[in-house]
Amino acid sequence: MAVIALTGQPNVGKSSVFNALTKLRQHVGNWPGKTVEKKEGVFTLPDGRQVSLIDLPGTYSLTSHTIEEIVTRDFVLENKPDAIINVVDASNLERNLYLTTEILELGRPVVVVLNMMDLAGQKGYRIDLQALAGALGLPVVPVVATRKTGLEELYKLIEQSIDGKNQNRGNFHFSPPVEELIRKITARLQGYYFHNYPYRWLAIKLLEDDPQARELVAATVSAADLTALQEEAGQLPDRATRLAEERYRWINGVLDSAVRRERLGELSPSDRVDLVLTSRWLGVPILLAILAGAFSLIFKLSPPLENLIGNGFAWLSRLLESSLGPVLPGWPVHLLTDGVLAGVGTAMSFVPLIFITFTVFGLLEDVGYFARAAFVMDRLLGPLGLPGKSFISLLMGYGCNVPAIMAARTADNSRDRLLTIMVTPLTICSARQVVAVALIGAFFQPRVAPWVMLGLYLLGFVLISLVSIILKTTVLKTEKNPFFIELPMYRWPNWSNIVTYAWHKTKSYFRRAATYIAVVSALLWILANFPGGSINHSILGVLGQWMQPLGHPFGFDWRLIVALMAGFAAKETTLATLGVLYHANEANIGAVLTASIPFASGLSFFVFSMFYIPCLVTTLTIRNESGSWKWTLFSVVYTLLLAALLSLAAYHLALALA
Amino acid sequence: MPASPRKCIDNPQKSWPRRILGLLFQTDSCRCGEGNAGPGKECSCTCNKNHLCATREWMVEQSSAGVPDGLTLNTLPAGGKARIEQLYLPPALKKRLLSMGLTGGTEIAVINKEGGRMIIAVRDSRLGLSPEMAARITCKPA
Ligand SMILES: Nc1nc2c(ncn2[C@@H]2O[C@H](COP(=O)(O)OP(=O)(O)OP(=O)(O)O)[C@@H](O)[C@H]2O)c(=O)[nH]1
Repeated sequence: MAVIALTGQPNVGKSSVFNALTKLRQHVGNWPGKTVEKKEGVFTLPDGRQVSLIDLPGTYSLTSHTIEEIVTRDFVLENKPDAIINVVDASNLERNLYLTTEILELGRPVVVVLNMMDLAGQKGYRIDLQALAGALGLPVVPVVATRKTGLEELYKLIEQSIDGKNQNRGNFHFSPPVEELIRKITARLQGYYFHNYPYRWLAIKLLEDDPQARELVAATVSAADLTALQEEAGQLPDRATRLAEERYRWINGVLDSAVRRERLGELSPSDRVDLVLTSRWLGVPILLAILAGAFSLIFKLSPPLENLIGNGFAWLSRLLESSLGPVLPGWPVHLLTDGVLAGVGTAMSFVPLIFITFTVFGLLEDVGYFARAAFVMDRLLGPLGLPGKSFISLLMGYGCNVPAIMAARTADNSRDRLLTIMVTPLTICSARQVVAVALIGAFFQPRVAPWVMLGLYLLGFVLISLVSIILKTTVLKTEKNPFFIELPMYRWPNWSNIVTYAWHKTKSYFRRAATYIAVVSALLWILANFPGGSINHSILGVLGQWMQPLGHPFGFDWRLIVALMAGFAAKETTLATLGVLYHANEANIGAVLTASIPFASGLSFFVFSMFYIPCLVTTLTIRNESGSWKWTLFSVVYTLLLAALLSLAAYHLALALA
Repeated sequence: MPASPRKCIDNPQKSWPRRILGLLFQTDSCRCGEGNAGPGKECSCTCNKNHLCATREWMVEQSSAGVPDGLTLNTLPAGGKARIEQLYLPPALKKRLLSMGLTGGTEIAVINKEGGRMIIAVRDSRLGLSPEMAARITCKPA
């Protein structure tokens, strides 16, 4: 099957082109071991041939400074796709063609898709397509991806490229002195083998001081050639700037011959909206109002659907019990109903929440608001070491950590995304809020209860900033760079894109989390019920008793340890387990806990249960989203240690004060 | 440290409350390093002996940042236009901004400027810049 790579700068409509071509025949995952989304799809050409389409991450350029850039260029260099479709935003051609000049250097046939032709028209741009194609030296096809116009022409060009009939490699070139230098460096490199990489590309990257290219060349060529290469490159002062300027100079030449554009600095309608939405006084209140609206919509729409799913599973559970009960002994039936079905039911009840969340957030992203939210929030979050966009995940986390971690995808780069994923479990989700309310009710006077709750939120906030500052200065080390962000023009939402996006998010959650959930829930049920059928004497119970010495410094007896272990399945299970172990029901659990657990132990347990390891579904979501078991383990271990530390302090402080 | 250097940037060391107070109480007309300064005009604000701008939330830019005295983007008012000269940034970041179109000689226009943050028009697109970022980009009158 022929392979086509889809490239483009961020926000040019790449996903729209991808969806228009592949429809629903697509698979969304991660690049192996990376927090970068990978989309693959298949489509059929008019002549019946199947084509595999790989959507590469949106990047502004192809130097090796971000994981997205490395993924994009490594894919092209190593897999040598039959053609590259370079999607450019026709209403923002000058900057978009910068990436085109870099793509041409990769040595594959390129087709330029001029997307957003409608917006270019609205902005008053007049594009002479023939002149543009001539000046670029590349086939150009005008498209409005959201309306699926221009696809026939695109199919034709793809067919030609696959058949080797697209021999155009573009007209881009640097100035004669730079070209001469590139020729010299290329000649020197030609004596060596660099994984089949194009020599000219490598020479240009060396001149641009690309870290990966520098390393590769240094590890391959002789010492004498390395010195000669350094001398040659040294002939060009401030090389990276010079090369970038020359790329733009060529682009301007192309545009002068083919496009008529607006005057710089004229206020567009989008700019006028920004005067309000990013304003110093209104920006944050508007952001809060929009998010409050979004969250209330999400948390209003999903519970009825969650109940529906819950009832469905309860019905299925009863059906299984009544039909299998008479023919099978009790435990396999309970394993199936109380273990597997209950676990899968819990996981499934997140499905409406996830779908609705991503529809609402997809909408905010699609219209271009998220970039503004990050711009407005960066001022406040920056000092806490958090990227502006993580605000959305953190706020969402107070509802549920699962979609919050998935929402970290809106981060600008994979490091910020990973950082957000790592700190999100420190937000107190609604399940933990239920536990918190019950425990605070049991261990504190009613008049201080609200203050304890407030203190809990504040503690969470402090921990989030502390952990992110520590991560940013250690394992996720990044230079503290001054902030900037591209603010794309506001656009009307494209519902089919938004729903496709939400659907893929839901599907990927469903497929991966739900499969693990079945196994792990069955295992947890067995641990909690075997042998003997009650948690007190079960493996979990015995494990708890065996671990009692570990709980001693925190003031935990074995029952509290068992409740914490059970809470891993779902945080609200902590309460139910305490109920079983202390022989309490929903009505009297507060009084029973007050009477059975000393205050210091209760406080310590409260703190521990709020911050220890994320629940099972969250943990699996972290695995999905980070694409790494290592980071998943890291989040489990660090939250466990943090909770232990806090609860140790709380226990001894309470003892000392008492 | 000279008594009145003109270039001041947001003080990264300043405490949280002061940051918030700065956001609330600084007005564009008295902001050190930008204030009433238009392209080519000098900053009207002075810095006190503690190396802080008189408004207290801004500090004198350290020479290590390497930005020479002259016009920087953060001194432009809303509606102002200028041409980019140099970016005084770490290599990776500099290349990112170069690829986004902030190369030498490029004309930019300030679309909006509030509380030190600015939105600029550059090559058909809009970039949001923090005051710290804008202070590291030198420019000359368009
Ligand atoms: N008017 C118009 N809008 C479009 C067109 N193509 C895409 N859009 C809109 O442009 C926005 C960005 O489109 P996406 O397809 O998400 O762009 P992308 O390049 O995949 O974006 P990233 O994934 O963020 O890099 C969305 O709001 C789309 O609905 C088009 O041809 N015309």
